[in-house]
Amino acid sequence: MACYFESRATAQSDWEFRGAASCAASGCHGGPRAGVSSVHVARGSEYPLWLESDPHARSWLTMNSPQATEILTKLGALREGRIVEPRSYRNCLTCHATDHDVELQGEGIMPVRPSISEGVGCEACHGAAEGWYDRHYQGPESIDVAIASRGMIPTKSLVDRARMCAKCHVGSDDRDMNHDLIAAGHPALYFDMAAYHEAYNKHWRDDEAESTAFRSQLWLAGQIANFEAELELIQARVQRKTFVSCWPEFAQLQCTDCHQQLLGRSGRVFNNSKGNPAASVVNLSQNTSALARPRMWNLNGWSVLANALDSGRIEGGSLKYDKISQEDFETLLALLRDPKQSQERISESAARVQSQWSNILGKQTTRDALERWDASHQTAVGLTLLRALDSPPQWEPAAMAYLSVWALDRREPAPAWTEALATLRSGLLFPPLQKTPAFPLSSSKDTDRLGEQPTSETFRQALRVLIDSLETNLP
Amino acid sequence: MMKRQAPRVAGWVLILWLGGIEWWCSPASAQQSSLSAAFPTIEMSAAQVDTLSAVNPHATSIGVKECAACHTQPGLIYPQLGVTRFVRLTEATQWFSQDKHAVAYELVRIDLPEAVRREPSHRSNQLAKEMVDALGWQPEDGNFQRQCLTCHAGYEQTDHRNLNTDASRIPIGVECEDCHGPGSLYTERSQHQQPSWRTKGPLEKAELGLIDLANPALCAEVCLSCHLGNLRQDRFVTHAMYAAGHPVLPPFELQTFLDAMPPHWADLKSKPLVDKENEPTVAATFQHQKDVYLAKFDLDATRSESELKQQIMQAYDRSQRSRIGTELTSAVGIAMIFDAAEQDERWGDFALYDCMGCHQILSQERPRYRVEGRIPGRAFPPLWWSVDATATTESTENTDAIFRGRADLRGRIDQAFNRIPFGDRQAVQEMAREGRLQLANERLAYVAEGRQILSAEKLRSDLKRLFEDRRERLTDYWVARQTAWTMTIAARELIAHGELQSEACETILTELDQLLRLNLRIPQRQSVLGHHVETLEIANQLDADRCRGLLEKILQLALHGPASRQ
Repeated sequence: MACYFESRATAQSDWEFRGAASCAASGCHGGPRAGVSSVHVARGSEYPLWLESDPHARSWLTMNSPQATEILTKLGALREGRIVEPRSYRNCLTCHATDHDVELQGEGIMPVRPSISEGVGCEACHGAAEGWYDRHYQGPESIDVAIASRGMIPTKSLVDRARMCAKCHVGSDDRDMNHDLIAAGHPALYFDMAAYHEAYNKHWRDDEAESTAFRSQLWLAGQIANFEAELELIQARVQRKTFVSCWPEFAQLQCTDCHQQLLGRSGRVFNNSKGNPAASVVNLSQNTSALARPRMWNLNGWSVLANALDSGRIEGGSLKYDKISQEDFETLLALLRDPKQSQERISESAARVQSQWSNILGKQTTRDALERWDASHQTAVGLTLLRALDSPPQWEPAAMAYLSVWALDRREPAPAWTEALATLRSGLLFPPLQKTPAFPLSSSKDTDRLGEQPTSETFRQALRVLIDSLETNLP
Repeated sequence: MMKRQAPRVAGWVLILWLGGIEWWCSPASAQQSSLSAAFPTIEMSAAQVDTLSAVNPHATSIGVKECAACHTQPGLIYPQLGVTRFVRLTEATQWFSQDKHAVAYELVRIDLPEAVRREPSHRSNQLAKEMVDALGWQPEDGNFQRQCLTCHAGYEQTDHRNLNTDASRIPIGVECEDCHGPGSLYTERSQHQQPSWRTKGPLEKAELGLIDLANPALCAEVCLSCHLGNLRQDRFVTHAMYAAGHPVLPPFELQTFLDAMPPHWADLKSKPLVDKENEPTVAATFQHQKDVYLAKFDLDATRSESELKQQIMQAYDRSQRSRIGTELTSAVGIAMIFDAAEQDERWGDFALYDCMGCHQILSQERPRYRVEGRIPGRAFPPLWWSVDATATTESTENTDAIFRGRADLRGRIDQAFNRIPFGDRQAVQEMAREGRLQLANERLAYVAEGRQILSAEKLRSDLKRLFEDRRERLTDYWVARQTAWTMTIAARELIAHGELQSEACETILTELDQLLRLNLRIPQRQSVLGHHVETLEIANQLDADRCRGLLEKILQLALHGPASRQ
């Protein structure tokens, strides 16, 4: 069970990086036209596509922007432009560059190598190429060999692909984008495989892309990968595996639980805009200690698979999802919200959940689940998430619900559906000036505050439309 | 009759322990020996030092009824004897009819019928009930008593009153003895009615259970035990209580808060000298006025009575109270962190941290305050708790050591909260011993400072240091407001003494008031919570640059002195 997680952690091999340029020969991946140079390569123009239109190729520029310099300076990694804390700097490089070894020269100057200055290059996702760059074009078997023993990362399978993305976009034991970084100015991470995939300028083609279930499958793959990465990250944080990781970690908590305005309109403390104290008290019935809740963005995968198994929508084979597994998961959530909880206890609890996950919801099950995952499964998930929303909803659960419903990919949707989805989306948009997103509570004052946001009434109606439509589509 | 323990005020004994400061008036040696016999001195730990009661631990509460017997109305004989020149004898009336402390319990009673609670005049009872419900407190678990009534009714853990049924001791609110100290000893044999009472020093009075509230430091400490909190007395508004609806405790500023109270006291300035020749009856009633001055202030005993009176009249006592109160706020806040580190239940409670540290809107438009050396994204104790000690009269070796000690302490606390989110509890525990000694030293210095006469010159340099210390922290509304309160009080006092031109300054003071809402009074038609929400809006929209500009202008005017008159 432990090796289930470890096997992926060690995928980062000792092979050396060759640099993106070594992939860019015109006869290989640097060609101008798609699909002519080799029958085994879908396009042939991956390199220029990446270079010109992939944000990953600009990641090193981002790391060197004035904003990034400010962040690094606030964090104490840079002082007057020199690297003074290589361990902290390395934590950034692991995601922002292909290679991340920081070798300092002189007074905190890092000599720039191609594998760093190229940003997130080919090998950052496909694996260091030393072991396979000269032998991966000899038929499908050569790829299999490269993946099995020579350090190439599998990207065909959606789950494996999502796991590779999640390494940076969620984090892992050597790349911890924690609350210190967010507070210093780094955007918080909200990875959703399906939505990111849609927005991404792809240098490949997916055979299954035409299927209506494809987006839902990507979504599910993302849920699985996010969950696994998050658990690994929790372990790394409680065990302080990296220089930057610490505990308690605010990034493990739902942002809007703390970052709420202490104002009449925040919808939390004083939810009556007229300031009538009779209706002013927050409902603490589930939360008498007034602690923040754990951030569920990356932990939702558990409930998705557990519900699917529990309701018999997917087969677990001889494996049964039971109350004990659920209790283990809920214990972890309870421990996460208590800032005074001992790290050993959290680590132990996370290990139990990891073991439950790899035993019951493990690799084979996830593959099966993915193959069978279709609109009906996705509908059930969307309904659960929409129904669970508070009124007014918190930003994060509402965004999760929206993305799960959006992943349904209805090809000829009813106008009401499209409109309701659009309303939900515009309610989620970060208003100008990047204020904490807040759901409008009344129709008058809030609109001037948040720009063109739907009123609470429109928002409720949109939710109703979506829920009704999903209910009628439930098999 | 139920007896109550004396409120604790820390560290008297260090007065003796520190010996180095010649701060006490001459008759002190006798007092010292009697007190030092009562307590072990040097061998004790910092924690012990802090728990020692300032007032005699054997003193017990006698109840407001006893006080009211005399302090309600002066009658006929007392004015004739001249007593009412020095003591109003209407204190209880004043307190009962006008002072909000008198209704502190009434406001949070949760046993009123629902129909009554729904009336607009009982909104606070409704809020209290909803809070208790939201927090899931049950009548039998004692949470309401322990967490609310410690401040709202002077309740203590040793207090076994059943507040619903025990009619003999139904609390009224924050009563006389909750601030002045338990009365059993000083009312014994009518001691505090003797003419000699007025010339007793604070230590002597403390031995009989009375807290010398005329001393700004001791007064601030008493107020702060509720208005900021004291974990040893279970006086602490937890984060859960705030989340359930308790209004935010506004950052404390001694003089402003005293001004918001209807005064039932008379300060020394307003007490006239007795004309011994023409008022022989009155003169016979009291000890020599000079002895009274000498008991309260460190003054030159060779001067004449009227010279001393003149000196007292020229004192900047309001400004002094404000400055010392601010320093004490900071010390009490730090003591609270030390106490929290020793209590499993309290450590990590979010109410120990700066509200705005977490509850900030995620906007790039409003600058988030940053303190140099602090890791971004961590929770720290409120910024308005932490100022550098700056308010002492003269820089001696001892006071310099105190300043250095405070700067060092501040650095170590920052480090402890840098190391781990929510703070490194062990590190705080480790520094607590030394830290408490530092705080006790500071406390001594401020108690001594309260016995000095603050001059205009000293006030000016104090203001300058205060402004420099806080210049970069004015993005925090609570710091800005606290600073503005102190500056306003000082400016108005300088104006009153003819040391500052009124017209030029008043415009800026008004502007500052509008910007920060310095007035504590809640308009009649507004609910406490409505007012609270509005204050938070102001806090969120604070224009720190403008605030800094206004404060700097006031400072410049104050520094310039009366010469600015054209």
